[in-house]
Order: sequence, then C-alpha cells, then structure tokens
Amino acid sequence: MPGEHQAKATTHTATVDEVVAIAPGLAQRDYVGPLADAYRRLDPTQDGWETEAFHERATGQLKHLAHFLEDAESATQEHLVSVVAQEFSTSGLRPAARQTRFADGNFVVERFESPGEMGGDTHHGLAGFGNAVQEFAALFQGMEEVHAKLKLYRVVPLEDRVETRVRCEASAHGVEGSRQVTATWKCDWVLPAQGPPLLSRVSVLQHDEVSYRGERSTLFVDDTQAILGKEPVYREQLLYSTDHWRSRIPRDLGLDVVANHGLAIGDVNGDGLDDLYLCQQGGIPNRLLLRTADGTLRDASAASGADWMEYCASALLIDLDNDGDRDLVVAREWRINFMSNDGRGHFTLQASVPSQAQTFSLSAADFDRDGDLDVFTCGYNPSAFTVRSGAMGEPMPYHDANNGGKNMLLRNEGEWNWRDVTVETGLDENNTRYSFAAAWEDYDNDGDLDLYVANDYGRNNLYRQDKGRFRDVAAELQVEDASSGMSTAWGDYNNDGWMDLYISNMFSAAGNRITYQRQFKENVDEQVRAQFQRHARGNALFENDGQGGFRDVSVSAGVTMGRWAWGSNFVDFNQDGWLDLVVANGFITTEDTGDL
Amino acid sequence: MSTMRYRQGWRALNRLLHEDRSFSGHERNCAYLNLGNGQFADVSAVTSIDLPDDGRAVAFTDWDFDGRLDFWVTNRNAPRVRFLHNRVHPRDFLALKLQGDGKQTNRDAIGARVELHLSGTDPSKQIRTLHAGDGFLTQSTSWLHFFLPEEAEIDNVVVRWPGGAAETFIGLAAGGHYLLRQHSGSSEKWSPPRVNLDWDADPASLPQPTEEARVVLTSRLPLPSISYEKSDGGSEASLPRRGRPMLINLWASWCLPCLQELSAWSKDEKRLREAGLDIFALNTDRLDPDAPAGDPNEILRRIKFPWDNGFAKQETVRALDVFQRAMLDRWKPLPVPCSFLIDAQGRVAVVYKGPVELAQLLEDVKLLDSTRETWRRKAVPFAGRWGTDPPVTDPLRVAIQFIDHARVDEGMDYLQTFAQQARDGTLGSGHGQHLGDTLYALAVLLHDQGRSEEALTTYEEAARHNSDDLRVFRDWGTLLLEKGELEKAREALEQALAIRPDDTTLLYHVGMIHVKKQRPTEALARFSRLVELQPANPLFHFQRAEILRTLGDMPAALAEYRRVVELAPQFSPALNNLAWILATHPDDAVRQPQAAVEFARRLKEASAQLSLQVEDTYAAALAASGEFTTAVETLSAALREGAESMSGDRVEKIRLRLKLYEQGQAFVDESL
Repeated sequence: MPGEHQAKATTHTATVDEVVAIAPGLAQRDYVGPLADAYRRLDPTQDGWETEAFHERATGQLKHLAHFLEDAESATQEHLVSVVAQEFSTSGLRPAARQTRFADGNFVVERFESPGEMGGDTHHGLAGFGNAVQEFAALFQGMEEVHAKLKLYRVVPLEDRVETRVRCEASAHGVEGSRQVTATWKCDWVLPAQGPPLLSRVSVLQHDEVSYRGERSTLFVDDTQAILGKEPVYREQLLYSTDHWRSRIPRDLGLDVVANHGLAIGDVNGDGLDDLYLCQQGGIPNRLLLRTADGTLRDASAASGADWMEYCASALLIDLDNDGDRDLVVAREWRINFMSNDGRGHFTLQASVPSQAQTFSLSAADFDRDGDLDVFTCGYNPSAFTVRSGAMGEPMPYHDANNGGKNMLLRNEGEWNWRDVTVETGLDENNTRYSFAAAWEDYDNDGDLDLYVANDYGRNNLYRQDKGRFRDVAAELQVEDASSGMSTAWGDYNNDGWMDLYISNMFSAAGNRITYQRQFKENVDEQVRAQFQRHARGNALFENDGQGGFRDVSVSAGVTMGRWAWGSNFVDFNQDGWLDLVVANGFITTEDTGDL
Repeated sequence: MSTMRYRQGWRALNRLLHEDRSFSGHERNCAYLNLGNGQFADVSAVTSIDLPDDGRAVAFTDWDFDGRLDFWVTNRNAPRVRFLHNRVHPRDFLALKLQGDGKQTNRDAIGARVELHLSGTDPSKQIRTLHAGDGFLTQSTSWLHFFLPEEAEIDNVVVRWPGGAAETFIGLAAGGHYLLRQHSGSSEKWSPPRVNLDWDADPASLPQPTEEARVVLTSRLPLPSISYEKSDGGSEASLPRRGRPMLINLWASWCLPCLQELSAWSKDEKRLREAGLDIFALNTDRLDPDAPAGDPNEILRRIKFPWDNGFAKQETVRALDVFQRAMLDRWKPLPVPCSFLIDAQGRVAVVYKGPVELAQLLEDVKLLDSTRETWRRKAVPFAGRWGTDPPVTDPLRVAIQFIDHARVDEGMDYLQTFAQQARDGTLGSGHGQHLGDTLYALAVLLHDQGRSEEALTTYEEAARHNSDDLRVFRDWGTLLLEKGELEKAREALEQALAIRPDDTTLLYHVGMIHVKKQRPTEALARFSRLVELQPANPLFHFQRAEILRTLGDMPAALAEYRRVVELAPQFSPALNNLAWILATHPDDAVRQPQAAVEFARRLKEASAQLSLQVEDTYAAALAASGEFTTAVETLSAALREGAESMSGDRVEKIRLRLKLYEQGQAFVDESL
C-alpha cells in the first residue's frame, strides 16, 4: 500500500540529486555550450544593473573632474557647465583642519578625518567649484607630472539625487621631492532631463597629504638598466610582455594570460652575493642571473642546467642537503623539481615529485625541527584539468570554492627523498581550495612553526602546529578572510613581539558597487551577500593580540586598498624600525582602455 | 541550470581575457607607510611604486649594501622584471646573515627568529623571522635587516635557532653587516664589495608591439574543411584535405605587402616547385565592402601568379581563424596577408601572420618532414631544457572554438574528420591518444542533439579506446538509462563504478536500476554503501527504507524512515510511509497508532496542498487510534474535493476504507 505513495519520491530525487551530482565529473567535462547568451550577461549595463549604467556615465564625468584637478586653469565656466550642477556646493576639496601624523625627515603625513557629514558649505555654484579646484591644485604648484584619478566605488540612488563614494588620488613630482593626496569623497549627483549626471556636492570624508624628500624626487628609482642593460637576455626576453610570446608560441607549451611567474633571490655560487632565479612561462627558459662583484647581472642559465622550458611559477634557492650551497626547488606546473647545486651554480635534477595540482607558491621550513628543510606547495587548479581550461580554473561555488587542487607538505627524508606528509600531519584539512601562497611563522610564540595559506575564491587556512600535528584554526580565530587570497606574509608591524599577518586580495570597485545593490543575488540570504561584499573589500591586516588570537585591523589601519593585488609583504623601506607594506597589483593590462 | 549558467559565464569571461580585453588593468602598485600608531598612509605615488605594471612577485634585497632595501618585481607585461632602487635618506641599519650548523638547524637557518634588543628607545625589541617563500611566488634575500630609531643603542641580538637553543650575540654596531654562526656565540663582520654601477642610466625603452608573427606549431592538427569560391565565376569548391604540401594564403588587392609576397613567390615559382610546395591564394576583397575596389584576377594575371586561387568566403576565414585561435593563447583577428603552411598529411605546420620571405618559406618546407622534437625546438625563441615530451594537441581545442561561437555542426564535422583520419592512421603517430577523447566529445554532442542512436555507438567506440575513462561509461550509462535500457545502462555504470567505486551518483543510479528490476538485495548493497558515504543524505536513507520494507524487514525499515525525517523533517514520502505502516500494519507489535497520527499531522503540515492521498493516510492513522468520527469527516471531505485526481480503483479502495471507519473499524493493510 505505501507503494502507491512512492510517486512523490521523484520530486525529492531531483533536489537531492543536485547536491550529489555537482562535484563528480565536473572537472572532466570540457564542453559547456555556445556562449552567446553568457557574453551578453558579461556586460553589466546590459544585465540590468542600474548603478552600472550610472557608473559608466559618471565615470566619464569624473575623468573631466580629474583633468580639472591636474590643470586648474582648464576649470573654466564653459568646461564646468557640462560636468558640475549650477547648485553645486562644497566646503572645499583640501580641508584646512589637517593634523601632522608623521614626520621622519623623509616623509611628512598630514591627515584629515571628517567627524561626520560636513555642513556649512563655503563654495557655491560653478565659480565656487572653480575656487575649490584652485585651492586643491595649489598643493602641486611648481611641480611636474601632476596626475589625478577619481574612482567611483559605491552608488546609492535616491529620489532626487545619486549619492556616491569616490576615491581621489592625486600626485606630482618636483626636483626636490614628491607630493600626493589620497582622499575619500562623498559625491552627490543630480540627473538632468538630458545628458550625463552633474556633480552637485562634494564632501571630503578623509584626506591624506604626503610630502616626500629624499636623495631623489621619489623614494624608489627604476634602475634596472644599470644592472641588466648590457645583458642580452634582458633586451631579447625580459623586455617583452607575456602577450608578445602568447601570440607567437603555441599555447600547448604552457602560456597563459595571467602569467604568474615569480623569482627567488639567493647566493648560488658562494661568493656572498645575491643572485636571481626568474621563473617564466612555457616556451621561454627560466633564467639564472648571477651577480658580479660590480653589481651587474649576467645570464648563466644554459650552464646552470636549470633553464627549464616548461611553465614554472615559482622557485626557492635553499640548502636542502646541508652541504653549504643553495639548491633549487622549482614548481613546474604539475611537478615539483628538486635540484642539487655543485656549489658553483650548476644544478642536477635529483627528484621530481608529481604535485596533483598546478602549483603556485612554495614555502620552506624545517617544520619538524629535524635539521633539514621541508617544502610546502600551494595547489591551485586540480590536476583533473589536464588540459588548461583557462587561466583561472573554474571555482565552485565562486565565493567559497571547494574544488581546487591539493597543497602538499613534502618532508625532507634525506638523500633527496621526499615524502608527502600532508595527510599524516593534518594539513589535508580544508585542502581543496585554490591556493596561491603560504607563509610559515611561529605566530603563537610557542617555538614551533605554524602556517598560513592564502586561497583564491574563498576561505584561507591558518594551520597551528602542536608537536608535528597541524589543525586549521582559521575559523576559530576569525582569520579565514573569505575573499580572493593571492599572497600572505608575516611581520611584527606594531613591534609588540608578536607576528601580524597581511594578505592580498582583490579590491574591486565594480564589486563594491554591485554587491551593495538590492538586486545583487536577491534570492540569497544576507550571509552570502556579506561574503560577496567581503570579497570586494580588499587586502587584510590581522593584528596578533598576543593571546593566541587576532584582530582584523584592515580598515582602521587603512591598508585595504591594494586593487587587484598579487605579491605583497612587510618591508621597512624608510628605515625607521616600523614595517611598511608594499603591494604589486593589476590583473591584465592591454591596449584596450575599457576595463572589464 | 544555474551551474550551467555560471560555467558559461565563467568561460565567456575567460575568452574575453584571451581576446586582449583589459581586466583590472592599468592599476598602480601600492605602498603604505607605517605611521607607528597602528595606522598607515598611502605613499604609492611619492615612492613611485605606483607603476601601472601588472605586478606579480615582489622580492627584497639590499643590492648596493647601503642598508636600504631595494626591490625586484616581476610583471605580467613588459618589462617582465624591474629593479627598484631605494633612495630614501639613509639611516642606521644592522644587516645579519645566519648560518645553522646543518645538523640541529638547517644550514640556511630558515625559520630562525631573531630579536634585536635596544636601549634608549621604546619599544626596545624588534623581531624578524627568516622566511624562504612568502608573499607571492617569492623568495627574498636571506640577509635580515633591522633599522634603528634615533637615539637607540644596540644591546644584543638573540637568535632562536629552529631545532636548537637560543643564542645571544653581542658586539654588533650600527651600519655593519654581520655573519652569525650557530654555536659560535660571536659575530663576524662582513665587508661587502664596492658596487660600481651607472645609476643614472636611462631606462631601456620597450620594444614596439607588432602583430607580425611566425608561429611554428609544436604539434600538428588537420586544418578544418576550407571551402571557397572559384575564381572563374563563383562556384563553390573545397581545398583537398591532404596530398601535397601547400601554402594557403589570404590576400587583399589593396594590401601592398600581399602583392609583394605574391609577386616574389611567382618570380621564384621554380624553386618553390622544386621544394614540393604548392600555393593557394584566397582573395578576401569580397568580404569587405568598404575596401577599395580592385580586380584580383587581373592582378594575379599581371604578376603571372602560376598557382590555383579563389575567393575567400566568411566560412573560409572563420575556419582559418578558429584554427589559429585554437593554437595560440592570445586571440587576435587574422591579418592580411597571412598564410598557413600545410604538410602532405593535411596538417598545419606553420602560421604566418603578415608576409613571409621566400627564404624563410623554403627553410620551413624542410621542417615539414622533421621530428616532433624539431618542431618544438623551432617553435620557441630561445634554447633551454625540456623536462617533458613534446605535446600532442587535442583536436577538441578546434572543435570548442567552433562550438563556443554556436557553430556546433562545424565543430562536430572537425571531430568526425579527425576521428576518421586517426582511425586510418593518416595523421602520423601520436594522435591515437586523442581518438578516445574525440569520440567521447562527439558522443556528448550527439547526445545533446538528441541523436541518441549515433551517440550510443560513438560512446561504445569511445569506451573501446578509453577503457579507464570514467566519463565515457558514466555518460553512456546515463543515456541508456534515459532510453530505458536498464540492464545495458547498469553494465556501463558498473564499469564506471569499477573506476570510481564510491561515486555517489553512479551508486544511486545502479541502486535504482536494481530497485526497478526488483532485485532488492543488490539494491540494498548499493544504498547501504551510499548511506555510509553520506550519512546525512535523507534520500539515501529513504531508498534504503523502501528496500528494507520490500524485503519485509519492517523494524529496520521503520528505523530508516525515522532517520529520514530526523534529517529532513519535511520529507513527505517518508512521513507518509511511516504514518501508514504505524497505522495499518497487521502486526500489533509494529503498529503504533499515536505515533502514526503524529507523523500524519506532520505530513499534512509538510504538504503544500492537501491531497486525497495525504488525507487517506491521516484518516487511517485516526482510525487506528479510535478517532473514527474525525477520520470519517476528514476522508469524506477529501473524497468530495479530490476524487477526480486519482484513478478509479484507488478511489474505490479509499471508499471501502471509509465504510470501515463508519462502522468503527480500523483498516489493516495485509499487503504489508
């Protein structure tokens, strides 16, 4: 009799089947279907995003505004009228109530922070706007290369106006030094019956003004030419973009558009001087560049035996056999190559371990304190993608992907034997993410090394070591930093004796605009929305509280903006004993000016 | 469906990246200055870190030993590497290099924690750990740099050696480089060499990008079918698929470099013929209505072009374009002139974007009969060491290009032709490895198009070539299942299970086939395994309960049903069956009328619409607990409203039950 009631079970089969059917076999399926519809959806203005349509038009206006900041003379009535509303008002673009927060002989930092929305506007109408621009531009008087950029990153449509947040960056260089302004503005816009939106109000929320004076007008000078200018490898290989080779070398040899290729610095020939090993895409050899006494570099790739032609992401120059010279570990797409050094920079392949994944960063440490170095490898695409299915893999689900490649901890067993101890040490926990980078550190000052792993498309891992066993405590300590982790580094930025953590992610202006909109994922709960919003926030700084935990100080420290960030690290570049931060960024730059 | 939508979106995005679209491009690198109060300031511009490069890895080292940390940065775009020289006003520093004993502690002392103790300043301690591999794809120098605040004096340095004890070093002075050896207890001063570099050299200018390229393919695939219009009057023809080496050339009559190379080849016809090369010129004038008018036939006559020629159609150019896109990672439109050098097997050996000199062409003709290793060597601009065998390109690459642009038929035609040539052995060695994959892809496409008979034979052939390929057996079995060929489906799915024994989808399908074929024991084995693999999946428990019931093990079945509704309290079929069995089972020991009423109430709550079926169960439970009046009321009302929704004989059975309740009797289901 109950058999009669069984018919209903089929509807349940459908729902539960979705759950069981997603993961298996997905990776092997190469054919997806015609893409015409998907292309249409990629254009946000066509996909029903009202604020994206607004953004397109306002961005055009912001370009004009940036130009006025660069050249205040051009802010004439006739130019302003199509950008600024007649009813415009502001209390000024360069707040007077700045406080000096830092001065070390190189840098002077002045800061203004608005206690709230500023009232009492003092500049009105087009003429008022012109005056405000003049006041701002006075900062760069007599300097060159004046550059201003305004970026819209939050849009709130209201009945009579549109409220936006705009990041303002302006800078100039002079003979004696450089200056820059980094500010956050609240910009209001009115929408005329015809034509683009007009700026009706600017209120400065935050304003940083930095002056620099050093030996040169800027702290860093690109001096590559002095070191590599005479080296043919530089002119013939390294001066060409990845894109140049991507249109000449068959992609089968291992080229992709993202081109994540790193470098290792270490003394490979025992002269006490740092040499350089550069990883390159497939079809182009990796380069070993040896430093000469005068400071130039000379190519020694062919003689090194380490001029691998396959796609290589990263390498380490470390002494693996404790014989006093720096050996080489290279992450070659699907394998990890271990090579011994003869002490003069000639390397011999000793072991090659399959990696189960496309490997990005490597990080070495003697985790078990047995006197030799072990190596942790970061797996990104799983090896099921035997054909590169595109540079970015195919994360599922996007905001919390769990179908990535495996990381490995390879234990140095001596005599160039490597044992995969990922499972037995506990590092296989939460190990199916798209890992880009890892860094070892004793964060709890208990004498053994712990490990942080930065993962793309979702949550990161903090593996705490207790006597050779690791446990992922990222969730417990709230350092999962669910976002697009690209790099990770440890450093004691506040000099309190405990190591803090910095992680690169993606700051996405578009992501900030879209994910804060009502129509974004209307049918999902707030938690998922929050995850997507967090994804677009940017980089993260976690301060070690000295009691086994961390505080997320990213926003209060002011270090979230790293754009589409890749390599980042702590480094004291002004030599005052406090660690600063550097962030390399930018995903794909081409001649195309309209950015995806 | 949303998964498919997402995957398509992801793919489309990926494709735009191949097509030179900027994506978070023109972004400027950042630097943040630590203000010492928990806050940082953006100093990207004043440090000139703010290069618009697509930066990747950042490494540190003090290249000129002045204590200041310089950067080496790698980029995606040009230049691929930069040295950024730190020119801050120098301050006091201390540079340390560690050396472990190579026994307790690794020789490089990686992982060592170094503490610098200071007096005259607060905080009085700075710590650094020596890392090898942090940031992103980076290893920085193994010198550790400390910087001293004004007024600070160095007390000592403590090194916590990994694997060894802590050791204190004294006698270190600001401005020095020191080597600290483990167990030595004392520091050795190290004198850096004098650096003599021309720091004022102008940066190298970047080479101008050029579209011209000669692409030697490292693995050769057949060209797709190339159709064209004949030069005499426009009738259609196709190029032969193989035979003699051939250069296919696209040209336009307004294009001077095109005319120059056509003319140069014509003058040297003899040498080209001796080399065994034919040329086939395809004019593109008709594809571009805005191009200046010219008479292609007249031009060819004038330069005495001695080879065959014709007019390119849209399809001609698309097929060539699709092919070059499949071979390269960067997808730029084909220029004119462009040429494709084809070997005697009909496979593309070299693609020329832009003109090709006669000498180069003659050299490349010699390449046609060389080995795979030679092709790869010629495909790259610099020599180096290979660790892998030369690749064999997957023909699916070409087919996918067609499919992504909604040319599914052309994509399938390419795969069909490839498969035929691979079977015939006319493609040369190496391509056999892709035959199974090609057949599989074809089968999937045929399946999607509803051509299931062809799909079945293609899956079968694919299975012969890829006997260890899960996808083939899984998808083959799934198609057989769709067609209702349960036993054949089971055979294919069992083969897939042999490859991946714990695949839940496969286990489920096989288990359900056994259910349908009334083999409860076999079915039970599959669902018991599924329950082990996914103990929290209610569907697996439900199927297991159903099978146990069929086998007559009612206590076990009831326990499973209860597990289902613990896991999924709204799971109606389980609630229904629980209520029904507990209400109507012939065995007093099994029947639990109160519990039956409870489950039936939950069933009613879980059902979006009350149906006759649900009310029938509820009434049976009520009757079992002696609540006949309510049972009669409920069932009568339900029969009035819902009798049409059910087949006549089932309604009749319900009416009989109603009569029983009216007489104050519960219903006993003897079929249980």
